[in-house]
Parts: sequence; structure tokens; C-alpha cells
Amino acid sequence: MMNVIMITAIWCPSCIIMRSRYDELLKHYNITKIEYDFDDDTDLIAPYKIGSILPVVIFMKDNEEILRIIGEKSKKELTKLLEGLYL
Amino acid sequence: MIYFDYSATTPVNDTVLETFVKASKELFYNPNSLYPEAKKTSDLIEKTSERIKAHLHLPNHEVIYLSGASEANNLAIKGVAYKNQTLGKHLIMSPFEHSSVSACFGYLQKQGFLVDVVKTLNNGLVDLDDLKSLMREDTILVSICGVSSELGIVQPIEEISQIVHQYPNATFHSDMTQAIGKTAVKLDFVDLISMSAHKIYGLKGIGALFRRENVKMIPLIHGGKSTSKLRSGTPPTPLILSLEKAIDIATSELPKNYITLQKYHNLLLFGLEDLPGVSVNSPLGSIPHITNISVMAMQAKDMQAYLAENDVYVSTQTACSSDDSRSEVVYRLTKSETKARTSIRISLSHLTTVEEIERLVDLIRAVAI
Repeated sequence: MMNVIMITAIWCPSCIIMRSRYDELLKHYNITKIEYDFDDDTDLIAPYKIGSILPVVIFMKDNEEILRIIGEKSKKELTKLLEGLYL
Repeated sequence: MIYFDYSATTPVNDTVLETFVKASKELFYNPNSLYPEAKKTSDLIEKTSERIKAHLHLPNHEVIYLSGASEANNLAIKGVAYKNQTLGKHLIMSPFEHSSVSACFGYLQKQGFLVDVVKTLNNGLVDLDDLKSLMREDTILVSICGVSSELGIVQPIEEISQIVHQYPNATFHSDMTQAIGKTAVKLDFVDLISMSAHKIYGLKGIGALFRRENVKMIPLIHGGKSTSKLRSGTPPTPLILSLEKAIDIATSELPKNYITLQKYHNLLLFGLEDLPGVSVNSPLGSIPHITNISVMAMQAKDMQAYLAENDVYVSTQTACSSDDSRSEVVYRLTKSETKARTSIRISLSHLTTVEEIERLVDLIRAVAI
């Protein structure tokens, strides 16, 4: 079972852009999305050691990180990365 | 101390402060009460609103007094979105908005509204073709600031308004906090206009949302009808009078101050132009009050600290950054990670002096590589 952890902030335009882009793409995959807020969920996001760019999207399989996508990506780039997970 | 952070806030003008103090002593009555002195105060507020509308050439807008631009942006965006959601749930913003705008859009997106962020051109201006392509029958709100706070970019408000108003359900909101009193911008094209007094030498704690009379929205703070049914609470008469005074001074002195600011801005650019590793991020055409630069030898927060140690105060902007060190806005404009991590905002005033600018340039020169 794969799930994705998305770390965003409500004030972040890149997060707004990517939230709808991920939602659109993830509909085609059997992936559950969990979203954490950068300002509110500080304890929950601490273990993921995120850097300086939002959003941070972490793909987990069997509780192990298998892919991390940071910042803005085009639909094409995202599709390619997601297809890579299923090869 | 040398202050270069006038776009963050300004010192209060003496006349504005005198207006506030006098009104605090003499006009303490609750304008919502019914006895004669209260009624006189209420009438005075009404006349003050008319004067503000005249200063800003907004005869067809209601003045809604509130605590500042952040509250104005919240009321405009959420108030329109909630009221008009039966007509559509599509919203559009620019990527250069203040966090009090972008956070409203992020909040509404999480509640099921559909949000698009319009693309910008290489010079930071909104891509009007992209805006046209994003507009839909169910678009109910477009929010694009008149002047961006981090870079000083002046957006083509009239053209944007024409595009938005081709869609009858769409309201055009603009955060004019960095525009009013600083640059000559025609406001009447805009349905909802946010502003804050403390950016134009007024007092903190008072701002306004100007609403075109046909714009439908709901209040966020409910209660009895005050000066507007869209914002309850006892009207702060002294603050309202001081706001009018600040707008009066800022707008009447704008032509003179703009020339002074242009001179200071040119002096700053001249001082920086040959320095190695220094680039100006604010595009041509930005207001002279705001100059965003990158000193690539030093991270932004280190640069800010270095200048502060020398009693010179500038700001860094950190939208979309989680470690206070990277400007997403500068990255979006320049596509340079280095510039995004080394950018500072220098904001000038008519109160700035030539000597202060020379001191700043000398300090930057000392660390430029």
C-alpha cells in the first residue's frame, strides 16, 4: 500500500498550484494523500527533515520513503515521476 | 539608525497623530448611539468617508473601516467567495500576493474552492493571455495586487479589470497597500480595494476595504450594523479621522514625493551598478520606493544581520520558504536559486536622505565580491 505525505503552508502559492495538480494526478493511482500543515503540524513533520522549499511531497511504501518531490513540478514531470514508481 | 524598511511600516506623520489625539479627546462618543453628540460623531465619520472617496477618486465605492490590509484582504476574498459560491467556486490569484491574500486562497482551496495561480511574464507582469485562458463562467473572484510588496512591480490594473469584467459573476479585488499614496494608479477599475494606514505614515490598527456598491459579499465579523453592515464593531472615530488625514497628505504630496523617490532610487541604482555580485531583482517600471537586490556573496539573513549591526535596517522576504532564507518570489522572477537566497528589500521614503543611501551603498560595497 502506498501513501503520500504532502507538507504545505496555506500562504504558499507553490503549494496552491501543486495541491490541485497532485489531486488531479493521484486520482489515477491507488495512493492515499495525507496533508500536513507546515505551521500547525510541526511535531508531525519534524521527522521528515524538510528543507527550505515548499511543498514537500513524500511517497511512502510499507512505511519507507521511496520518492520525495520538492517544490513546483509540471504535470508532465509529475506524471513521469509517478509512472516511475510503478515500473 | 538608518531605516530602509518603509514598505513594512512607516513612522506616523505628526499631523496624522495630532488628528488622532484631538479626536480621541473630543470625539469619544460611540457613533452607533443615538444621543446628539454620538449622532454628530456619526455624521462626521460619514463626511470623512466622503472625503476619503474624493481623495482616491472612488465615488461609487463604500468605505469599510477595519484593522488593516490583512483584515481587508480576508474580508474581500472570503466574503466574496462565501457569498457567491452558488454561482461558482473558481478563484484566481497572482503568485506575487501578500501572505494575507495567498493564505485566504490556500484556506479556501482546502474547503473545496478551485484556485488557479495566473502565470507572470519575465518582467513580473501578469500574463494577460494566461489570465484570459483561466477565466471561466464559474470564476467568482480574481485577486491581483496593484504593486507587489517584495519587488515593487506595478501590475496593469486597467487591462486586468477589462478581462475580469467580461465575466458577470467575477469580482476583481486588488491589494493596493503598496500602491495608494505611492504611485498614481486609477482605482475605479477595481471592485474591491484593500489598504492600510501605517504604510503611508498613518497609524497602525486602521485600514479600509473599498467596495463597489454592486459587489455582493458577507461579513466575517458579525454583529450590529456599524458604519458598514459588512464590519461590525464600534467605529474607531479617532483612527478613522487619522486615516483620512494620512490619505489626504499621501495623495496630495504624491507628485512631489514621487520625484524625490525617483531621484533616491536612481542614486541607489547608480551606487550599486558596478558592484561585483550584486544584481537588482526589481524589474524596470517597479515603483522607486522598493528596490529588491541580491548580494550574492551573502545569504539574505546574514546580510540583514550585517547591516543591522551597522544600524541599517532592511528586510528579507520569505514567502514559501520554510527556513527564512529563500524568496520564492525572487526565484519565480529570476529562476536563480542564488538570487532567491541572497535577496533583500530596500524600501525608501521621501524621509530618506542622500547620506543614508551612500552609507548603505558603502556597506554593501564592503562585502560585495
